[in-house]
Amino acid sequence: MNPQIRKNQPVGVLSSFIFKYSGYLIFILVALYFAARSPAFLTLQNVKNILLQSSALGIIACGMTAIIVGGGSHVVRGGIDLSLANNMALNAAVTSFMVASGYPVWVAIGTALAASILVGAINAFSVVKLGFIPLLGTLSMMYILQGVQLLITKNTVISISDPFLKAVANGALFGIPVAVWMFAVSGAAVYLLFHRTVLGNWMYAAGGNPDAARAAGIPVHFVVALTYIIGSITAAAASLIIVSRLSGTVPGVGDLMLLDVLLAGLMSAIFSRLAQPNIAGTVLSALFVGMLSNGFTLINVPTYWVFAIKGVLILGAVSITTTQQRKVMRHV
Amino acid sequence: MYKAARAKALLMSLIILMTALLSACTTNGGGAGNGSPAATGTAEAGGGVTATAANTDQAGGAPASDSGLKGVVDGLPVPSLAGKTIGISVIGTQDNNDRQAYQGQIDRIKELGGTVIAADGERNDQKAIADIENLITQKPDAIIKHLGDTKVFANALEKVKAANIPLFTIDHPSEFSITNHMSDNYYIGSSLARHMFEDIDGEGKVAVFNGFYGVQACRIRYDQMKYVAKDYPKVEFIEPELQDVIPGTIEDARKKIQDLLVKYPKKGDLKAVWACWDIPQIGAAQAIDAAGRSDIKVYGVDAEPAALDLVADPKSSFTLDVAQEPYKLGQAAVDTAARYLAGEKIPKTVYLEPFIVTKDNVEEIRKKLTAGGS
Repeated sequence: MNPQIRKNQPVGVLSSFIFKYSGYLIFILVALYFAARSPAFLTLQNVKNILLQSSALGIIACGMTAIIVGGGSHVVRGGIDLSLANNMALNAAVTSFMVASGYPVWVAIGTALAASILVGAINAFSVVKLGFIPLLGTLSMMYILQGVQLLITKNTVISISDPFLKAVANGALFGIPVAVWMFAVSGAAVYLLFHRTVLGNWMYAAGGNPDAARAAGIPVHFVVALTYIIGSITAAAASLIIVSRLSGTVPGVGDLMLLDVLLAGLMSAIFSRLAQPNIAGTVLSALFVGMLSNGFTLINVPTYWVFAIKGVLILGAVSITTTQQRKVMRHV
Repeated sequence: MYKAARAKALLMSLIILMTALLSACTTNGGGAGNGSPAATGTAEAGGGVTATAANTDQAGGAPASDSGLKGVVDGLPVPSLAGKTIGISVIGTQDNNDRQAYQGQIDRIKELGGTVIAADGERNDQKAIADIENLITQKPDAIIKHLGDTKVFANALEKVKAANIPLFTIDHPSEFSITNHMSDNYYIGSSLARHMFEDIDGEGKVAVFNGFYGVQACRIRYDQMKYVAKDYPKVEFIEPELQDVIPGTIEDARKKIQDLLVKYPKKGDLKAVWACWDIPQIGAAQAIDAAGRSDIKVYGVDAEPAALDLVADPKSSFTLDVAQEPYKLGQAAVDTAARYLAGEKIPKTVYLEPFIVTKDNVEEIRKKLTAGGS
């Protein structure tokens, strides 16, 4: 991304290579390990499974990354949306409730999308106009959304069956599952927006140094608000996959996903030489999380080990990134 | 340069650590969490060594050899699973009931000489659906699915059928399943209700947790309870019904019951609390016992160890529990799969007898459960 940084590094060629590509290396090492242990891992069907199982997480994690980019990655003051996973769950609840109540599926999906965007807009308003710390503003929104979901679902499973949703769940186009297409299209759209347009540069500028960005004439408020709206749209798209796969909605579906979403968003930095959150990295992180779950089942790791190993792998990835980040900071 | 070397060392040690961890646990094989080292050893060697060795000489080319073991439910011979791989998908391993069913399947598959691929849904339906897809990829000879909401898993189980893999279920009726295995939930539901309504002299208010009507076992027990209630017209159910949740079930139920105690402060206002399983009732009994409301009685199902502790406590409001044998349920599902794969005729549903646990017989039942289970 920034060539002079590379030139200035006085460290060994091999170690700097390893650090620059640490994320990819770990990804490939883990994949090779699974492939060596299970002949089923690299089959076409299994690769499709990993993509399918990572789709919802990947889409919504792109939204989380967008918000982190626009708001800056400072742990406390930076951009974050803790309500994002519950926004998705709200969307799932609204869709399921309306379809179960007899509304056409398109009306249900449209209403749910509007509800999600409204939530995103309220988050944007509270962060940009009222100046809330995103961590707190969106945390309160998360609780509100949990409450609203309870009101809608009565905390029960809402089961629906609809030909369109069934097609999203089990259907395929050119041999590739519909959900994976949705993942590919939304991932590509957010990637292009962030890494190939002026608006994308503005978002990085607003997150990196808002004062400098403002001085350069970038409408920082508008840009930050936009990231929350983008996030809410990804939540709606992910919800469509979830509702299809679960044939409705189940209680707690948002809470269960929140940490994975945050993880994929923040871990995206390990797939970047500058250790910055980015969209391609987010897609890879989501695939990494999906691949771990899938691989552990395939190589028959006792379930009691899975969390510990997941934690160690992620710790490894993050410690490498942190070291890398420090190196980059020294040379900037 | 020094820093670079240190960083390199850090990276190398991390990679070594990760490899060590991964290989350390994968040698464990079968996925048995609390399985003994001996059991794991036989799994590596291809399963129940003694069982398969005993019947290889008599098998002599016959398609399905007898394992030498008897069915856990009917005592009839069970064919060997030698050379067969069975995929199992449990909904979670948080509760004793889940763990027992999980372990029962794993142990039985090994005893019968088969290979296990085990997946734990971690009580996360999305994960459990992914597990089933991942099992299909590995083309096992059969898949056993444990618990879960029938409609939520319909899409995933349809994929099992489409892949032509025989599907068996535990506490999960499905149009795609060949045989479902469950405790006799009709009996559990009606006998629990009869005891409860008799204990409160057939009148007064009853609070009901009904968060999981979509789960077959809960639906049957709830419907049976309501059916019996028709003959106790003076029993009144508190509306709206309470909703039990997962996770955080105990804590959540405790709060809900505490709120209810505030709402019904007078002795005799609230007579009993019902749920289709034990976990919320542990919280309910804790709340009631702490408030000193000995006038309220608590009823649950599953014989969770913590619930049995409460039943055994003469001062606790936990009055009656129904014990199932989840370990045996897991074993029974494997027996059915083995028979099906050997071409034998198998029933649509396999029922297991439950036991009523009261304050009088709790120790006796506890001994029985320990002997039959892990």
